[in-house]
Amino acid sequence: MEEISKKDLLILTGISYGQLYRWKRKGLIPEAWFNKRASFTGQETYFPKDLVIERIDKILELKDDRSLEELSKIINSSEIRKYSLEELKLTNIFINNDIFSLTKADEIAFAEVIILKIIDNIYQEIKSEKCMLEFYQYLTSKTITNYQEIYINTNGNSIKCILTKANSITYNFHDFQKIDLKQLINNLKLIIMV
Amino acid sequence: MNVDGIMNCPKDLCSEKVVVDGILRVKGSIETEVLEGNGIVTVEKNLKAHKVEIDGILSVRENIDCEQFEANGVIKANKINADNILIKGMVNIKTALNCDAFNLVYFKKSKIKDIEGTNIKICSKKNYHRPLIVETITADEIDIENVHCDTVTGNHVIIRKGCKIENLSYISSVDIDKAAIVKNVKQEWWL
Repeated sequence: MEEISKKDLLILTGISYGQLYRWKRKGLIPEAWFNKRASFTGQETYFPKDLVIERIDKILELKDDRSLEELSKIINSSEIRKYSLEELKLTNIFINNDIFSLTKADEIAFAEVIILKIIDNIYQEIKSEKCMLEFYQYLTSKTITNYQEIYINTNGNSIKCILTKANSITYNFHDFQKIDLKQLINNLKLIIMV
Repeated sequence: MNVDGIMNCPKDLCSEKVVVDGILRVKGSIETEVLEGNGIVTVEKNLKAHKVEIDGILSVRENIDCEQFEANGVIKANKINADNILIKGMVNIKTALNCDAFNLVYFKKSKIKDIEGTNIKICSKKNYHRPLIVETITADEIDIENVHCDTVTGNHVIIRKGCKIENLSYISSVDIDKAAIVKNVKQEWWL
């Protein structure tokens, strides 16, 4: 995953040191994203570039309407609470609303929202409903948030899938579609919390 | 809850207001709106409060999380997160101190690993010459005296007497006292 230094992040986003660390304190930017390393100017902090920039853009967009405490609650509770199917339809996350027929419940957990979004990405390519349901059941049997990347290959009636816990594995899956799960999870959180 | 004397709490302590005149030892965490400690308060886990006022000793094995923190005396913790921190005395923070405004006047051997926030003002009491040991300070406004630090990064930075800084990076302005030692100074970028 590409990284960005604190200095470059501040230049790029126009925020101050104070704002960055206030958002860290309020739980809006996870502590795990602050990676300290030695540099020629002493110590520098590096962040996962895409994740942190997207998060800061979202905070800047929402901070005038909501307090930081509210934003923090939303971000930190998005994985705990359940989402009704009606509520999810309103967010326009899913291209195919037929996807909801895979789940029998009226309310689903955040992990299931992730799984539905993964299947939504390949929905048009799969013709067999049975195959889709089996893939859905396979993914729900896993703790999806523990994985970093998912590689999917579809050919109409079958789905091949590889879940990885390490990021950027070296094997070349040229026929596979890669989904960055961490990024997908963070994007979903930000859409759901609005 | 008022403690006059000595109290040992074997588990977590949760109360709207905790006032201690004496000694309070908590094996778990404290969660309260207000903690007023006159004497000794020791917490084995976390302290979470809206406002903390200490006259004496506060020792928290894990983290302090609050909005207003005022202390006269000795403060020990793994980490402290607060909007405003005002400490007069001795402070020992194992990892990070994160706040909007930090005002420290110290007069005993003190140590904080990382200080991060918006407005940082540190000085030692008159005639106390032992330095405050810090690894990094990162903030918008920094005004420090008698601090030994590896890396200082800020927007407006004032380095007063007694400071010994390895690396200093600033954005807008820097003012270094003649009686301070700064090895490397670098302007990061112009706003």
